[in-house]
Amino acid sequence: MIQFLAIVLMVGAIVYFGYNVAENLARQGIASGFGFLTKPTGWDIGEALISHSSDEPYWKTLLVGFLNTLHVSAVSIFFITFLGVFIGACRLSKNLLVSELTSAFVEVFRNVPTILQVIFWSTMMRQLPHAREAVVFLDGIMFSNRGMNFPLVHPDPSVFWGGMSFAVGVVLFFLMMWLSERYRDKTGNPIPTLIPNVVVLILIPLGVWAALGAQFNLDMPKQARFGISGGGEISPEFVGIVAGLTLHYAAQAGEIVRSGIESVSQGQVEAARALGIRERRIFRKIILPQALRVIIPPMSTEYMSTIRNSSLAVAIGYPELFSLGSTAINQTGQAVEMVLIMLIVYLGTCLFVSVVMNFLNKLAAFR
Amino acid sequence: MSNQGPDVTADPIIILEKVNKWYEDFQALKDVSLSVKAGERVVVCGPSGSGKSTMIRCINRLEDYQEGKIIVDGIVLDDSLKNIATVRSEVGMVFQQFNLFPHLRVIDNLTIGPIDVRKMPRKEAEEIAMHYLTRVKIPEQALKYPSQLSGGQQQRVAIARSLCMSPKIMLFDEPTSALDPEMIKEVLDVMVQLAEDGMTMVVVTHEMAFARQVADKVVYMEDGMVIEEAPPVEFFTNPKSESTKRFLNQILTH
Amino acid sequence: MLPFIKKLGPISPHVHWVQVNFFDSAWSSFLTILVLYLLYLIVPASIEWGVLNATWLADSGEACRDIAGACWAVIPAKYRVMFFGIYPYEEHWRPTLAMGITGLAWVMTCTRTFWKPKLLAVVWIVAIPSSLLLMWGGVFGLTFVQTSKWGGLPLTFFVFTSLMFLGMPLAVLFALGRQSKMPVIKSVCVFIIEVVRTIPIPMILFFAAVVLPLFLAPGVDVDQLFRVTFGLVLFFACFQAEVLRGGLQAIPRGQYEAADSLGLSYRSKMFKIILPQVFRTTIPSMMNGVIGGFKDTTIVIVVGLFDLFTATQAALADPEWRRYFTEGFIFVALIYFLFTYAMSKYSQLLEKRFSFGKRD
Repeated sequence: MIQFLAIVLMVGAIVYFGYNVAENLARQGIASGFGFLTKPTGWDIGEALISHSSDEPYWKTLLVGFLNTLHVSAVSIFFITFLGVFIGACRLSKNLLVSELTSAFVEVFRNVPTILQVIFWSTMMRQLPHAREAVVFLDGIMFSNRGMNFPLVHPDPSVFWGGMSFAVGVVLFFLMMWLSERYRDKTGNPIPTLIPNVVVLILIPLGVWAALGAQFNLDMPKQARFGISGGGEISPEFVGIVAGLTLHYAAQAGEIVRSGIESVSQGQVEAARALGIRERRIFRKIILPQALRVIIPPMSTEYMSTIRNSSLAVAIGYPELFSLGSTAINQTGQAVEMVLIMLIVYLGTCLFVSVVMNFLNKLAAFR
Repeated sequence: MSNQGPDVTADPIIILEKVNKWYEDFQALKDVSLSVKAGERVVVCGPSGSGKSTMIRCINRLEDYQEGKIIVDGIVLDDSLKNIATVRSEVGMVFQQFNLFPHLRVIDNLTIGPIDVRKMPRKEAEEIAMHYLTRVKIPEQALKYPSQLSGGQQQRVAIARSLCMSPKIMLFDEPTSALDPEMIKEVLDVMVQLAEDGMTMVVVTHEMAFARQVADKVVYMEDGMVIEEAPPVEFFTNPKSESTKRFLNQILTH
Repeated sequence: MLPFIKKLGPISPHVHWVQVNFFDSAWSSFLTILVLYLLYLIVPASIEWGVLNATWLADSGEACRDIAGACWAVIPAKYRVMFFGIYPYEEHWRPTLAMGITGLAWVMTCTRTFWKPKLLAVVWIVAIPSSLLLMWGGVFGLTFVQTSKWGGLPLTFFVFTSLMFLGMPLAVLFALGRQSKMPVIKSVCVFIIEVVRTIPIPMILFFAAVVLPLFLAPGVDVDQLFRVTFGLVLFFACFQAEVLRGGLQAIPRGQYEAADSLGLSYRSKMFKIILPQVFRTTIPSMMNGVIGGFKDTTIVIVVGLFDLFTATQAALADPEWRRYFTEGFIFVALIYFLFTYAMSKYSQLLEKRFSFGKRD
């Protein structure tokens, strides 16, 4: 009976709303459908990862926005993860000064609304002096009202191939760890991996770099007549949104890491100690696998919140998906279609993160 | 109740000399002295908070102590990490809460010590593990996770885990206190068998029947002090101090 | 502990405390010194900027120009705009009084002595209409103030109170719906909860503010403030519903069976037996959601509502004071921090208070 009523109500609501939408759109003379996506926008975007101009169609504008969303999210998540682990470790420190100060940091940054922090950092950046009087750190990192400028390494062949061999070295490093574990299973003795690791991670890349000319030229940002030339540059908005999201969510992530590690009972550590296992191995073999299973699920929620809240960038005018989407709605009036598109994109991105994190959780469980 | 008795001529394998330990202002151990010979079975009892667990945990240095001296198998337990590691690998310990590693299968719980500490090949470690699992009568559970076992089975796995390190001494910290009554016997049976094989054991327990059956010496502690130390027959029939009598009254009439 | 310290012999408990907590090992000692050095760099400079060299009162931003320290004068100069937004200046006593009433009602709701359902019901039945009346006006000789002029802290209060009074019941409905055995109800609730939770809040608010009117019949007009508040309420309810669901799943089956065996109806089973336990076990995560909801009220900035934070930002846009936005932000951040910090402390208090009858 209740179900029947619910169905009637729902159908009624859908018909009512659908009728209204059709009516309203007709009155405003807006044709529904996705045809508008191929029409040129006529407006320009401040910041894009792919080339973009004002006579390109809406779908491309939205793509630019989506890429910017991904860019902000990926950079933030990267920093959130590292800073979060660091904060968690500091919170767990036996040193009272370290743990209490970190706790104060966490309280402040998680209790002040994210958007306030985002706007604060971007306003801060915009209020900085002009490029000519930029604030300079370590001779190469400059902060001015144009954003942040930093040195880039000139992509000389020696640098490029050195970097590539380092990347190969990282792969080899993991391969060797795995082989060593296998060998240890067989014979009881692990292969000493320190020397080969030094070789593949440091000596070979250095050797490649040296053999190809040992060039190391930094492309330093320089103060020019108009603004700053050379080096890499990121906009004040990007700094603002990334700094705001990172500080807020890293504080949360720190608490997740801390409670995850604390969730492993002291008895586990004692049992491992009683077997004579060394402290470092206890952490690696007993604490970490158990903690990760507690840490990963809430962490994936944080990551998804980060992606969704990257849309706070609309408040500082950074052109990510939502801010471009809402501009598109204002321009075209295609509200229903645009909302659907954005919904699907955010849903898909969050789903992707969730799948990856579930996979990681399974991996952690099999250790 | 005569079991083959310790070798009286042997030197003590565990020596505690006037050990004192404080938690902040609270003194947990007061001048505790004790010596255990190789092959000897010592049961430690006393009311809760009497320091018996703290004492046994000092023997493999899970707890720090401030004054006195503890020597295990000729090694002085001080701040030296190497000494601590050596002692820990030679002393097995069984906990009240089992403390099995929940993320590892039973067999991996048993092999992690030998592989990691003794540098044993996995195959060999697994053979040893199966040997001890058979001895505690649950070889068929090897591939399960601890949470799939009953309390009694978990505790037997924990005993087997310690045995896999072929320890010279086994410490038991209230091994049956967290168990349902019907499971206590299966764990005690394993411990009795271990005693009959000549293992040096220090057992903190309230199971007085077990003390009568296997102990060479019963130690009674209260308020962080050793009050009485006697062979079981003497301890149960003719306790010297008032507090021991009171304790025995309480525990035996229950 | 470092061996050389240990050899010093018997020491006082204070010295012992310092040793254990700050110089337990070489690494710990190093950290202590490092942190102390960092504090030495930061703290004196901050005090110099924020207190010693600061200006507390000034007629205009110009007066702060030559000062090396903070210009807190921006707050006395601008606090009316920060707190009340564009609400008519001479009527500011009305939102103040309204906030006082609502604030008092909240304090009573959070104090144990007043935990009598009938009393609190009366309190709120008086408090909500009277505060709304004060804000709106239009009767008793009060001038009418339309909702688009509401702003500042009263608006934050309004949105937050709506979250609690509309969002929580909705959350309970959603959570029960999701647990329901009726497939239609269940799938509708699952759909709403899952979809809303993946939408960014700015988008929900934008939808409520800009797109929702399209869905209403021509001529039907719901006030923007209410639409936006409804958007936040919906988001809040979906999140809390998930928290409640976790709590519902944690209730042992025996509780349901016991209630069924007593022949209780669905309503009394849920509202008298199950939900009280759910609320008790989910206090920490519930309160986390409440704090989150409070913080999320700031997002109304994206649709141009003037809550405390937006009003502050608007106040700081004044060219005369623009340079001193840091001081303004610190002030408004402090206000949010005080509210959320108080809520999290209150949550810990509740948790302690309700942990009775629960074995650990």
